[in-house]
Amino acid sequence: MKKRVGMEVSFAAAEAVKLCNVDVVAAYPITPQTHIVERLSEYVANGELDAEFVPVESEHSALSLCVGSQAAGARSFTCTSSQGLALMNEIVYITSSMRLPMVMMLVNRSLSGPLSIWNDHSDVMSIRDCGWIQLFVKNSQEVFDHAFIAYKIAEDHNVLLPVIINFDGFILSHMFESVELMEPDVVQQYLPPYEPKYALHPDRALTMGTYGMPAVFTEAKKAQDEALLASYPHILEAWKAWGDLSGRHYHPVEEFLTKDAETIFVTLGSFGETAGEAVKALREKGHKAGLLHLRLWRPFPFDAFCQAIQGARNLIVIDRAVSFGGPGGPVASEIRSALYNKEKRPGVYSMIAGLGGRDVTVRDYMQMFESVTAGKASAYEIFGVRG
Amino acid sequence: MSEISMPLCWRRETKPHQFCPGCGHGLILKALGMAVDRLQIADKVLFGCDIGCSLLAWDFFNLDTVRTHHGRTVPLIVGAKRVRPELVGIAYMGDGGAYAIGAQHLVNATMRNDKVMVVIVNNTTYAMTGGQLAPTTLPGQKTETSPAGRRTEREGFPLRGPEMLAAIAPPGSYVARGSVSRVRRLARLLEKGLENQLQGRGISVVEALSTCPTNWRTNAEDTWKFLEKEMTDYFPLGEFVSPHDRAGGAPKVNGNSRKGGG
Repeated sequence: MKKRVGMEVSFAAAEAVKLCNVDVVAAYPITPQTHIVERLSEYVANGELDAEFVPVESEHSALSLCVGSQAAGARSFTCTSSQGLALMNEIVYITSSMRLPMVMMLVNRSLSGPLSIWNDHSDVMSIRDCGWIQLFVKNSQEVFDHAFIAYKIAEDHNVLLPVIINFDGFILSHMFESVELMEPDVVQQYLPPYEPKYALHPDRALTMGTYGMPAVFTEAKKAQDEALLASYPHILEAWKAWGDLSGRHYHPVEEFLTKDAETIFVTLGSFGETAGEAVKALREKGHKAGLLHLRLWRPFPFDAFCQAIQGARNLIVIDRAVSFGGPGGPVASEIRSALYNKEKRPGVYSMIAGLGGRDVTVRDYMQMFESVTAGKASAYEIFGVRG
Repeated sequence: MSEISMPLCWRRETKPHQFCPGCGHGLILKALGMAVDRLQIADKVLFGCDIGCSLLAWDFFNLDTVRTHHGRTVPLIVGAKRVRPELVGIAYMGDGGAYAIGAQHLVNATMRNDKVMVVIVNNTTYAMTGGQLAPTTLPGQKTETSPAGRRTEREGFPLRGPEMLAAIAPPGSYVARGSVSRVRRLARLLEKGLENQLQGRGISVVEALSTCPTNWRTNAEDTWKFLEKEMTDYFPLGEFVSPHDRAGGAPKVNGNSRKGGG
């Protein structure tokens, strides 16, 4: 009998990390990530999780420490938000270029300034090109499941890349939701103990973090890019195996009423749940609306995406970060670029919404839909600006 | 608090302030306000506050105020002071900002003897984020990330910041520790720190022991007891003398130690 319980999403996240039997947790406090790390420190203190818990002096140190522990062959975990990620930035790139298969949960929060502890995606968009596999999940169950899935993907010897699980701060992290827990033996069957392909070991000396002269640097970057692109089928495999085990099936893009849709919303993270309600309401009124939730952000699932939006006339891409001075929101710009060479391509409307914790309601989505279908929307706008 | 007892440089329309009941920030900012009033420097002060509870001081004073990010207030104020040396720079931050995430800045500004004053609020925890283990958490003290209490064999001993800085403080620096349990004394230490800067002598670092009943989960009596007894035992109050200013001058370095060879 599977156990379904109600708990704070951060605690569900911590429970999952515990079930992953991680060896190392290093983190620095930052809102809204704190509850996950606090709960993990309790597990370590009461003996439920046999791990090194290191309350380090900054996020820069947290990720640096995890690079060290992962390089030494330990399953490592860290967790941050916003400025914490910004401070980690240097090491984020180091981790992926060293092909260290660690996992980070990024509880999305706005970057300063003005200072805001609330939710948007400006933090993660600042590391768009960092070379990690990046996932966006939208509810408690997805957060819980993706802890296992992320390690499964990362540690696959065909992948060996770090994974970020993005989920929305407060509007998801601090909610109480129902989650179906997994038995430890089932998790272990899916995620066996970590077997590093490469680890620092004085008996079998190797070098990690090499110097790249101009003669090899480009090749190293090409190899890194190929490795990230080549991870795609292995991500699908990890999802498939988890689906077989749990009955919960995940895909790079999740479609909701897209088949005959003329206008499709594209969202990342928890906003998909509200947008889904808007789509239902629009359908009831006879509008051909649909929703596409982008679960996999890196590597970008171009083919699956193009397949899913075939036949659509308009895409309303909700971005939760501003690319200052750019052609539109970061997600919308990528989608435009992905579609540019297609013969038949829909209009792409870039809507920036939900910055710094601003709610985007069903009514807001309906308003966006109305302005796009009436031909009144511009290609790029910051939606709902007052005054 | 009556109208009369507010320092003149306080911004009245932002009072009552936003700190929790029983928090020490109000008292420290009062002591700081008293020091600024006494020296009549309100029109010269650049007040910088950090991340953590100290950020709630961003609209506290009628002083030029700037807020940056966690731990970075020291270099920001140093930067402003370098281009406006006639002004008085104050960096106001917590123990996490000063001794953990921003420790490199504090150490290096002290080494350079930058002519600013750093005020460090020591409440033994990261209060704004809900009370996690900080560099100043006392041995055995329970926090959200040390649920069994600080274990010195794993997390080390709490940092005595002023003592550490005094050990590297150049001539002319001023390093002290006060407490919210002695507000007038604390105001005097802050005034001396500011005078030190006004005289262009060097860096001033004043740590203030503070209270956090919200995260300590203590009542008024236990809050005060923790401050007066446990904190003050570990973090002694007073002024710390730089090795350079001690009788006998700077510590002697044995330049011939290699030759000696033992």
